[in-house]
Amino acid sequence: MLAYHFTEMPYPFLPDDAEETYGAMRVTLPSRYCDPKIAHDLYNRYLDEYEYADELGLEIMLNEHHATATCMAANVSITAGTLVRRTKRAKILVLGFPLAHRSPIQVAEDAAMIDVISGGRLIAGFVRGVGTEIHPANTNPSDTRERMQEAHDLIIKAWKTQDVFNWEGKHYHYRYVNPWPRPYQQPHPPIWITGSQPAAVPWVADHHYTLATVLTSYEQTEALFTAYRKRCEEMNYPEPGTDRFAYCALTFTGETDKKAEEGGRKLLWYLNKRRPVGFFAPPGFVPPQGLTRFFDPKGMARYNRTYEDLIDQGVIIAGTPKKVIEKVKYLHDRCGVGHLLMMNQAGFMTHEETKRSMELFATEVYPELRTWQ
Amino acid sequence: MTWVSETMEVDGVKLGVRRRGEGAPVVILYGDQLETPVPPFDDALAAGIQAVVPSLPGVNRSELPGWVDTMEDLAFLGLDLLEGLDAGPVDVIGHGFGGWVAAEMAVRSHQQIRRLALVDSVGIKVSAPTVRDVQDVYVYTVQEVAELAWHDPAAAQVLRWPGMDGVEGDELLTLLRNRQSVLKFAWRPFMYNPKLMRRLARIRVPVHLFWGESDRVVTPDYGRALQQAIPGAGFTAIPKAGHYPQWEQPKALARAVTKFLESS
Repeated sequence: MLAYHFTEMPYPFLPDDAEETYGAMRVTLPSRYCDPKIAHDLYNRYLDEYEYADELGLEIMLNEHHATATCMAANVSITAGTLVRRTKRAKILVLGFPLAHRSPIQVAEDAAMIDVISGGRLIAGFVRGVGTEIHPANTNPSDTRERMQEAHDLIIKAWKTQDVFNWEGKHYHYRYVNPWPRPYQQPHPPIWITGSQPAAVPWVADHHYTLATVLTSYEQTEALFTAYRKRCEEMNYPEPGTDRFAYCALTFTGETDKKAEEGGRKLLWYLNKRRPVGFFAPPGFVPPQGLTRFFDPKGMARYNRTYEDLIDQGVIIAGTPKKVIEKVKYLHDRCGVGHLLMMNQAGFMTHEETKRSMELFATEVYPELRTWQ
Repeated sequence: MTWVSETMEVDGVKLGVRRRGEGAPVVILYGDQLETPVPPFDDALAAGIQAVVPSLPGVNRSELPGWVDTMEDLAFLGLDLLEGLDAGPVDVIGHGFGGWVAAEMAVRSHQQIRRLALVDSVGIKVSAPTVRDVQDVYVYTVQEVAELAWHDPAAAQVLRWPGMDGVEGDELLTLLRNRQSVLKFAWRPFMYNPKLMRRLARIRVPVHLFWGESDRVVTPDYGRALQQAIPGAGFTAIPKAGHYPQWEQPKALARAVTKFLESS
């Protein structure tokens, strides 16, 4: 099993009433609340943590979001660009390139540059982008899945063809597709896809890509990964190994139960934010059936979970090294997960706390995890 | 008189239609509203009018095939629907997004349109880039929408809206599908076609605009700009009505529309 360090690079230093005044932490929270001097320190601190992950033997996961204080990483290629030369060995998992919102040629070029400069350390995750990405990019929410799949087809063709071709599809039109360079890993880096809906899983299985879930419960994760394995069985594909399954949780390793819980509770900052439906689930982004829960107080219970609920569901994995091993073992055995994506930092968690947790994990938990197939 | 639910096939697309009365048809185009409850305006139209109210593709019982994905597709479908009525040129009333569809039909062909009534319609860009001419009602809460869309926000309960108390199950599902379908055609630019303003000058049939005086979703000033772009168009403000005069002042709207249809 491999473990990846991940932070969304949050900007938590906001007035208490900012979220209340602007209705949400995303889309409508004005950038005047971002002090560039504080942001400078934060970026460099978070990048230091990524470099520390490389030193500790952990892999690295990066993402991006837009118009939000929860994630200052606004361009995943820039973050990756700062890290490729400052890290030596870690895989750089980009999870992911927002395919529905970006030129596929730009993605093919960015990914190839990262891969070539790093000497083949890139894992290229392709994502549709969450609902709150719709308004900043102003992409029509009803065709994001279509755009993502067409962009995927175009990028993979460009990487495999290694020649100039014409693409006149539904959403993308290029008369001369010819992105330079081509990736270091041939024909292309490993591809990962995030998923939260069972209906989207067969496509991932059909392409033999790694399926990653983000902050889903054990139950949801198991259902998604079972759907993947079932598809492989139905289609007579070789049985997928654990390397096809990745799980992202909020994680904290502490010396004592008390310290672990204190750390775990700090991670809640990320989850306890308002989710106005118009921004989180714009019409068309998910089918109407998936939208109804946003208008149903019972359906929204998912977003009002207690710390204990989140621990029980595996969304937060926090504990002493021994407890963390037990919890990850449970996850590994129940869901067949081969990649643990660790959101080791959120909200007000300090640099020292983050580093200490990473260190404890790397020295006292990871050696055990590494032996699991 | 009671409404009859029917299905009409236009260009291979099955559309849900509700119909009432006999005589010369008047086609009413709404946006993402439910088929029932029926807006009281529709009931208030004169008995001698055959009201034909199709739901747009993807709205209520109407299909939304993959090939229908632009406003232009809706405009041609609308024109083909009128032709399919086989009643010669007919009167068309459009509200909101439905008004935009009606305008896009009229700039393309007058063959099937006799007169056009536009009620609190969208479709054009009037103000500076930094000004939202059409409010973002799909982002706002039920309370915020009531404040913007109604003269009397307390009366907003009659128009079903996701997030409103008691809106659940199939009704909620239909409302969500309806708004999703409409937004497929109206996301970017939001609720307008930059080409429409100039093209409105092509309209040769009598046009009259009806606007809720208190509409803050698309203001009466926006309506005036729309009126000025259409040769010879008239304008009637509906007092004590917001964005939905068909709900808030149905009788006053019916009187005004009937007067237009009888006089022009």
